[in-house]
Amino acid sequence: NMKVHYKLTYFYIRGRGEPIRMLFHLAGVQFEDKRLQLEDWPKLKNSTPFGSLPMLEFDNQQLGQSQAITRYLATRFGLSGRTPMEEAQVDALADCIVDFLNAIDEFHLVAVGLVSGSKGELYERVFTPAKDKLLMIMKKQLKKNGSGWLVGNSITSVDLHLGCCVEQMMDESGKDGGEILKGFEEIREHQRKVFSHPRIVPYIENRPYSPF
Amino acid sequence: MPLYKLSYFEERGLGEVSRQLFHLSGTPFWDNRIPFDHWPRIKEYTPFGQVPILCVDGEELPQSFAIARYLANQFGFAGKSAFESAWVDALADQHKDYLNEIKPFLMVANGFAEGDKEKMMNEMAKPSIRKYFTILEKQAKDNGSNGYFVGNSITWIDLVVSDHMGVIETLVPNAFDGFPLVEAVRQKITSEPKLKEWIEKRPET
Repeated sequence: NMKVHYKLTYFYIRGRGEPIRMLFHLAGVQFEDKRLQLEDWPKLKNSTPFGSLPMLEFDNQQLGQSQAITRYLATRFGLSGRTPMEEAQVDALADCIVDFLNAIDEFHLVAVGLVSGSKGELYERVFTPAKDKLLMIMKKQLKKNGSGWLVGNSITSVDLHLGCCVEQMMDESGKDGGEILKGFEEIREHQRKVFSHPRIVPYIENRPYSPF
Repeated sequence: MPLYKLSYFEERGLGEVSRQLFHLSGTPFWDNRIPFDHWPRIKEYTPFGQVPILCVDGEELPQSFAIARYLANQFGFAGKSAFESAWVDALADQHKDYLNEIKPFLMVANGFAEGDKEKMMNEMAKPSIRKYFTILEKQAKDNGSNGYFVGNSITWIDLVVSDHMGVIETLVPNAFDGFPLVEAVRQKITSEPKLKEWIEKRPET
């Protein structure tokens, strides 16, 4: 396969771009990791497919939407599941993570300082039930699958997705793993597996800091 | 041929696109429609506590779009190249973002929540519809105004949008004024013989 030049554009935060960055590092594929400051966004917005980021560019083509980008790359890199059913399971679990992110949107906007509000109240009413619902699904899946990874016998894109999501849970809530993952030992172990992967460790150690 | 069972409520909702994929491809399946009052009893036995669920030779798969994508891939309605498939996925993701925006309006309009339906329609639903359908209109145009959103044949995003338009037009008058190419996709899709037949005979919901 000819060497493709990939360029990933996202904001200068982890957010919805981080699992994709990790995917490139996990696969050992080079890419241009474009991190945009917020003030540069208005200029770029109209030249993106959907007026949003992340955006992937390669071969004079553009692709928007984080899940579509993840799925496209993971399939190219062999990290999307080994059979059609495994691929679909990866998709389904990723959709649950997106459902969770949508469910906590009210909390998220206050937690990252975009909207004013009562973070404590939103943590109890909005964040915690959604967090427990997602982690219960993931715990059930980890137990059922039995390999330590969410789907199949090896790491897939949705393992990265969950890893980043749990990090985000801790960053935005300001609570540590002890509280967030209480009763979810399987997820704690999963975090450890993802973040000690030999291709992920050097990336984590060298990536630019962002609060979330 | 695998044994397929699709479980969903007695409505179109998130299950309809998958039902349509079975009918379009001429694939037999058990269209398992769950009455609302049965749901509380069976919910805890489902993988994620939600429907739709697809069961393929005994293996369960949740999440409406993961199911649709899986069936579309099996039956040839997912785009003809990897990049086309990715664009179908991207539009489907955009559709979900849009649904998320208008969800509060839909909840009120369908009687599941209290609120000022008129106000929400004007302040929330109409702008979101405009924003999303502008993207769809442009996509239909960029794709060659051929009656499909991606490529030269039906993909599952054509089905998702067409069915959704049927929902919105009962709630928001003139919702699709100014989007002739999107309307053209819906016309083309709903006149596809196998789909037309299903739409005519399916339960009224």
